[in-house]
This record gives sequence, C-alpha cells and structure tokens, in this order.
Amino acid sequence: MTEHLAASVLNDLQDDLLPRDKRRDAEQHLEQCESCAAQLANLRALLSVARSLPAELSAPAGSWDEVRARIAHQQTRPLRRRWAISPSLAAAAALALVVASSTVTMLVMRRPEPMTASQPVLLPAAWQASEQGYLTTVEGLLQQLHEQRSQLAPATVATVEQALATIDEAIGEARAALARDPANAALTDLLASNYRQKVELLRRATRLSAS
Amino acid sequence: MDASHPTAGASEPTVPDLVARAQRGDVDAFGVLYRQHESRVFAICLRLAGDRQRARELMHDAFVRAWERLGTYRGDAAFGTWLHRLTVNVVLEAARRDQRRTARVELAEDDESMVGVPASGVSDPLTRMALEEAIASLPPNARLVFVLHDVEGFAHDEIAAQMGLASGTVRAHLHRARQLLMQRLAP
Repeated sequence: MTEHLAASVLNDLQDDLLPRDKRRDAEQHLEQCESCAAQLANLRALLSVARSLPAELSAPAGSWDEVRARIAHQQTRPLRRRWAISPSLAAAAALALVVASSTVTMLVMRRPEPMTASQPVLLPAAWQASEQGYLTTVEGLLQQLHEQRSQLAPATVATVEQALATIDEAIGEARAALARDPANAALTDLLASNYRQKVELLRRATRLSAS
Repeated sequence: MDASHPTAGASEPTVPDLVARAQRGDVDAFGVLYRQHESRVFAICLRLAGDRQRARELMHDAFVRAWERLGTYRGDAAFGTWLHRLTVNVVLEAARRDQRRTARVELAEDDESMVGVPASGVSDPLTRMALEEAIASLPPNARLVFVLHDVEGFAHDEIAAQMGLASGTVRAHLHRARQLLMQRLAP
C-alpha cells in the first residue's frame, strides 16, 4: 500500500483536475485504501449539501425603501455648480472626514442620541425621502453599537463620539443651508456626503465590534 | 404604484419590458425587478460576506450599482445572470477594501493533510443550516472561493480572474475551506 493520498489530490480528483495518469493512480489507490476512500466520500457529501443550499434567502424587510432613497438621490442630483463653502462648514467636514478615517478601531460606549431630522428646517421634498433612508440606516447601526457597548474601551468612546458630533454638526449646518437655498446642488451633495460619512463611520465601528 | 412596495401589477410585464423602462429612469419598474431578485441577491451577499448586517449593506450597494449600470446591460445574458455577477463583483470589491483596511493575513498555501477529519463521514450530522453557519465562520478568502465554486458553480479560472489571484491560490483556498468545513461539521 502506498502512502495516503494528499488532500490536494483528493480535491483535484473530485474537481476533475488531475492528469489522466495521476487520476488512474489515485483511483487504483482508492480501491485499496478505505481511509482515503472515506475521505473522498466525506468531501463528496459536503459538496452534495453545498449544492443543495437554497438559491434564495429572505432579504431583510424594508430594504427597498433604502435602495429607492439612494437611487432617488442620484436621480435628483443636478450638475455641480460653483459654490463657496463657509470656512467653519469646510473645517467641520474636513475634521469629520479625518476623524472618521482614523477611528476605525473605535467603538461607541454610550449610545448617542438617535439621529432625527428634528431641526426646524424644511428641506426640499426630493431630498426628504433620501434623508429618511439615511436616517433609517443610521438608527439601525446606532442600535447595533449600543447593544455591543460593553465591548468598548473608554478611549474609543470619546473619539467616536467626537466624530459623530462633528459630523452631526456638519449635517445640521448643511440642512439649514439647504433649507434656505433648496435649489443649491452643491449643498445637496454636501449633505449627502455628510450622511455617507456618518454611515461609513458607524459601519466600520459595527464591523469591528463584531470581530 | 406604491413606491414603497414594488409589485408586478396585474399585467405582469416581462423582464425585458421592466429593464427597458428602468433604463429610461422608471424607478418603479426597477422596484419590480428588485422584488423579483432580492432574495437571490441577498443569498449571494450573505454567503459571501458571512454576516447578515454586512450582507444587507452589500445587497443595497449591488442594487444601486445595478441601477447605475443599467445602461450597460444589452440583454446578451439573462438579466438575473447579469445582476448576480454584478453582485459578486460588488462583494469582492468590498472584500478587497475590507482586507486592505484590516491588513488581514490569511493562510494561502494548501494544507496537504486531512488529519482530524473523521472517516465516519460528514453527511450524517450535516444539515443545511449547520453548513450555512460553518461557511460564515470560514476565513474571508476561503469563504469567498468556496461559495463561488461549490455553491454558485463558478470555475477556478473565473474566480481567479475576479479575485485577482493565481489559479493555484484559488485552489489552495478552496481546499482549505473544504477541509475546515469537514472538520467543523464532523460528528
């Protein structure tokens, strides 16, 4: 009896990747070796179940609303035009980006206030649906982080909360500015960008908290 | 039509009709396509990502990408085929970003041994649910390759091209994934 077949040989035999001579040798070995034959049977049983897995799985409810909101935002996004961002707004946005990018190892210890569109500004109707999509996503992520807060370090808390506060401030400024100038495409882009930063920050934190 | 609940409607438009309408900017038509394919797309995302929340995000990304790229769909393949491959690309791109971000180091070489795999077979305790859970627990590249090859039926070379890996590396990931699954599912 020759030594047992390597795992790679068994796999290649199963996948029909062995040259003819090696395949013949392997098959001859399998006729005499119960151990290797059992290994191949195990592999085939695994693959049989893998191929029988259902092609479809129930998707989470409410997903279409979020996709539609993102699509709607893209559809209504006009061409960018020249627009001067206030220094404070630009600084806030820049800080948010820097902090968001540098805090991937951070998680939230204390649950931040739920994100709402409660500020007394009236946004363009086309943007309201898009904003609701972001708010739904943000709320879900905040809830997830809140549930995982026991795993978080205090230093993490401060940094992520600072990032969230900075982004929220930028969102507030952009919302107010957009309410005053609803046709301003650059403001729409800026507000969407701020929301995307917040979602991305929360996504990174939730992924890390789960790892 | 209620925008929040895309439905096919009484006349049941064909997929080519829906695609054509969506290509002209009809979001409701795209919503019907979404409804028809969301379960399949979610299954792909969930198995490849191994995480339900991440799969939800990726499914959204895939449909938004599909909307953006609808103009490139010429009907050469079935819309479902086009969408599912686009979904795989979205997930693989995200996986590459995630791996760069976390600098995850993964074993690339093959393990020539199947020591530890009981010869009694994995089929007895093997249920689909157990396999789903075991797949989700695989290392990222092993999971991606196993799902694409053994669940979705992609060829080695196709996977290698999509993942930017050598064919031998793909085989190594596949063999490792199978070995880990058999170990985890063994009685």
